[in-house]
Amino acid sequence: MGSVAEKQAGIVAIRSYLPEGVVDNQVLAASLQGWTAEQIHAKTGILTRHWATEDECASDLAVKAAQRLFAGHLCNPEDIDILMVCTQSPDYLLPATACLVHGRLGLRTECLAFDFNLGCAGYVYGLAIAKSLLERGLGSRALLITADTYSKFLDTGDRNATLFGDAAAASLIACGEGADGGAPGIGPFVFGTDGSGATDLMAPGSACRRMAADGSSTAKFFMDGPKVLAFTLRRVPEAVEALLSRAGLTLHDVDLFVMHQANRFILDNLQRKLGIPREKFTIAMEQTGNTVSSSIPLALEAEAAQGRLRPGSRVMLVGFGVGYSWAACLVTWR
Amino acid sequence: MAVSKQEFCRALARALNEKPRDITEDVALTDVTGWDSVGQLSVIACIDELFGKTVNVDKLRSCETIGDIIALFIEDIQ
Repeated sequence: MGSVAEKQAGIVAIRSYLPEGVVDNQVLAASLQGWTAEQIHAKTGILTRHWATEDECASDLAVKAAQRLFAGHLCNPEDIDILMVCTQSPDYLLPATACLVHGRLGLRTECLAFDFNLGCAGYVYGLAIAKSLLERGLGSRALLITADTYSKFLDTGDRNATLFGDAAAASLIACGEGADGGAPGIGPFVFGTDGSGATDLMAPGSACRRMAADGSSTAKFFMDGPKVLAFTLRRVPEAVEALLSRAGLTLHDVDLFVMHQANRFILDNLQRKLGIPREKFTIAMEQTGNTVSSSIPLALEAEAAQGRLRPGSRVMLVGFGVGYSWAACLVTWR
Repeated sequence: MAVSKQEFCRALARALNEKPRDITEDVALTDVTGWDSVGQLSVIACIDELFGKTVNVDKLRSCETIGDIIALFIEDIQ
């Protein structure tokens, strides 16, 4: 019992990768009726986003993000015994993208590797899974990679195309001493799912169920923005309150709130509704767009680089979106 | 927080990027230029801020006039 209590998983490091192709609002406005580049920025808070090339897939982005971790001497490939890839745009339905990444990174064969399919709540779910595996002794060094190429689903004639960017983030998670007198590095958690909203945000025909009447399939992205906003304004504040209650904390006890970086409009409304001071509320999607499950780790990496995260900082992460699926957790920064 | 019908119409006008005098109870939503999916986002946020209530989007979309929207929140309007 004592040894389990001492083994508390925490985030050791995060490195990201963005595809080199940058798409700005002028380019997108050319395909959108009645929307100028300035209006795109005003409505979304996004100036640019990175889109993968035709030959670039989630595994490519994932490998590059992980290689940045290794290049920084933050861990060695041979130390990784848990590899988790969160993606909704896998290279193939089979094999798992994690297996492709495992092979390209040259990880050892005594390694647990799998994909899980979640979107904007994926990073927080991934932290929960990694924490569970590590603290039960099923591994010692976990690589949690989020990687998506939503650009491959988007219709550039649809305004929703302005929202999304491609990216990957690799997080090294390991057990070690608690940074704050034994406070958990990750946790507690709150999770939620509402499958009644499953068709409000989807890529119909993108896998095995064909959606078109003529038997053809289209993988084009669909999102009912108003319904997604209504879901967000209802469920995210509930999750924040539930997590604070579970942790015995108030809003003021949290040093930084890092929410899924959906778009500026949603973030501004969440900040208003929750009454979080601007200096404690991360907004970091102007240059990347909504990068799905990578948006939270990208934001954490940016905040750490700017010195806004210090050892012992108490951070709340809240992911929410497609599914509907949502999750929130507290992280003590190391 | 109780809001007057006039205040609610003014708030809707701001949300829809319309002049206040153009947003009255009898106005048909098909005549409101700003009543598209982007406008609906702003209306949902506006109602959340005014009344702390989550909009039922299907009911909102079934509205044909500004008056229909007012009727959805009549309990919160003075």
